[in-house]
Amino acid sequence: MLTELLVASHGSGELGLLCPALAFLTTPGLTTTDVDGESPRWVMLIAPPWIPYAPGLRWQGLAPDRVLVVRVRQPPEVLWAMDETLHSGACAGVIAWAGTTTVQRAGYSRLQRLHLLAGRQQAWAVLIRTARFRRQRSPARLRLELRSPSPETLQVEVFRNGWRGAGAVTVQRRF
Amino acid sequence: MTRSPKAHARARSEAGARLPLAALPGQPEAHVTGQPARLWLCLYLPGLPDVVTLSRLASWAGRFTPNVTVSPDGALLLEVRGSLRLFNGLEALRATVAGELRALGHEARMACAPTARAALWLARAGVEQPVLTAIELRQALAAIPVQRLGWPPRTVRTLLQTGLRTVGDCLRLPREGFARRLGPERLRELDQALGRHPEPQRPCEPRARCSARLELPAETTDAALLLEGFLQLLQGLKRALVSRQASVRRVWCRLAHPDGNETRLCLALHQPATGHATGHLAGLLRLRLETLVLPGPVLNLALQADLEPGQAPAGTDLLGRSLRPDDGVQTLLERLRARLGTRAVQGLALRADHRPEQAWRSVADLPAEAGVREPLVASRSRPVWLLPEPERLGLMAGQPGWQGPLRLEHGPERIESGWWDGGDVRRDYYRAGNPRGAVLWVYQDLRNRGWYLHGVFG
Repeated sequence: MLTELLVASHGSGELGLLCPALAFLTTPGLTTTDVDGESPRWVMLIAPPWIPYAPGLRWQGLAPDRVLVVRVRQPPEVLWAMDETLHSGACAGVIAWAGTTTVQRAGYSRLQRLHLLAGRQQAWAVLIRTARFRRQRSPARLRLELRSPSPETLQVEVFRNGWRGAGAVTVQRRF
Repeated sequence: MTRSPKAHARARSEAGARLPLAALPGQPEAHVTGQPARLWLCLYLPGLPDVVTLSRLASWAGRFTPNVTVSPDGALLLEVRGSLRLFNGLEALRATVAGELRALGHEARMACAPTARAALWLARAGVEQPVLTAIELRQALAAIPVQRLGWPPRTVRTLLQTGLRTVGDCLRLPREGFARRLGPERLRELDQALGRHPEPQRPCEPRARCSARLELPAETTDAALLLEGFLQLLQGLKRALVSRQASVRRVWCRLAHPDGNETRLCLALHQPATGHATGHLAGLLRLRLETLVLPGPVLNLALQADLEPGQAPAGTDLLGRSLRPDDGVQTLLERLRARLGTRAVQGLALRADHRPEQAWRSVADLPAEAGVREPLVASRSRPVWLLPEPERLGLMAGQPGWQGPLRLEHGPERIESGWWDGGDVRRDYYRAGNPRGAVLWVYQDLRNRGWYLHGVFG
């Protein structure tokens, strides 16, 4: 499935928030889709704003040797790489930091395709965009907006969760 | 009428003479089954094709049997006895061969016989009916006109003048007289056709390097046309791979321009691809051509690959799972690298070093390399983001600042290391918050007292 995570600026707490879920996906034998404990368990980080720091990921519980990092030269390649990764079915989680230019050009149908691909491959695709795209139509079933009112906490507003209600939770950050 | 023991013995020896195939050296099964151990399928191409065409067809024919011979008079000889079961019998095999040959743009007369020479003669004579046993072989050969054997015109003239019109007529002659008049080679050929005399065949070895060229009909820069051309060349490569059961690790593509320059592409594969994996190569090539910037129009295309001994496909285990579970990720990496560049996709690994910038490394060769499992500083809090280079921070009212003055929340953690390799560091690391809610990893360099931003807790 496709999840959209809106942030004020890239690198404002989103990777720390996603790390426990990604660690869960890369641990064999834990997920329900993983019947025989052998399915591919990789996490792809596409166009991250800085270097994903292996000791930091380890500290957050995510094994660095299951993480792949893709750098792109032009913004449109973000969605292309996301598409390829989901299509291959080799990764359990795909996190893409979409630059603003890419996102403007990403039509609804393009995102819809990503959503369907992720569903077919039983992968989790996360598109990280800036908060000004909150008003734009999106096929993502789960849409979140992230704020950091103080350095210790993250406020996660769920403004779309399938047909269920919206809400907000406050998460204590782990350092 | 009863036979005397002597007559009986003679009949047996005649039968032995008539079924000589069973007595040939190197055909042990024949003693047991009574069936000739070899079955030759001859493809006779009328019009004497050139050597290049023949060798290309020979490499294609390697798909059916490893034992392919090119006969000097423009025919391919395939020993197919061992392939019959794989291709569902002789009729199905012949149909497949004929169909693929037609797809390659060739027509051939086909014949089947237990000896190579008989198959060749039958194909030249146009006898398509397969000949399977020694008795049928003798009958079928007997009916072939002597003009069809490819013998020299003088020999044929002599035969016709003496009233010998078919192979059968020749076989009825006394052996010594036949050899004296027409030469011992002709007698040996008759013996070889009947299987009385061995005729060793040298199997055609496909070349270890596959290279192919394609002239484009017109100069072009159109990526779709170029791809179409390369796909044709890849088909040739695929045939070579399948026939040799070989694999490729690298494929070089050259695009020649009219001014003599060349644009080169190299498709590198992590795992050698067998003939059945050329679809992946085509996909990689398409990605490369999409992003390729050509300096000018292209005149012709060339493709070159070194063939390696093939690898057996990994197969699946009892439950149908792939025995190489990372195949999918390799294919993905190669596709991403084909479009974004070789260094665009990296893995991560830990290194046992106290210096933060040395405590990790990127891994290009995935997933072969394993990082350090338990590093020295695993138990310390570390940010998930590292800046490529530490960023010098300005001072705001005596405090370091980054989008506002920083408040130091945790620290210091002193890191002093690297004096032995010139990368000496002496730093005090702090976790700091700024007014926008960002949590940063900053340090004070103890040598120059300057403040630097090194990471972000994301």
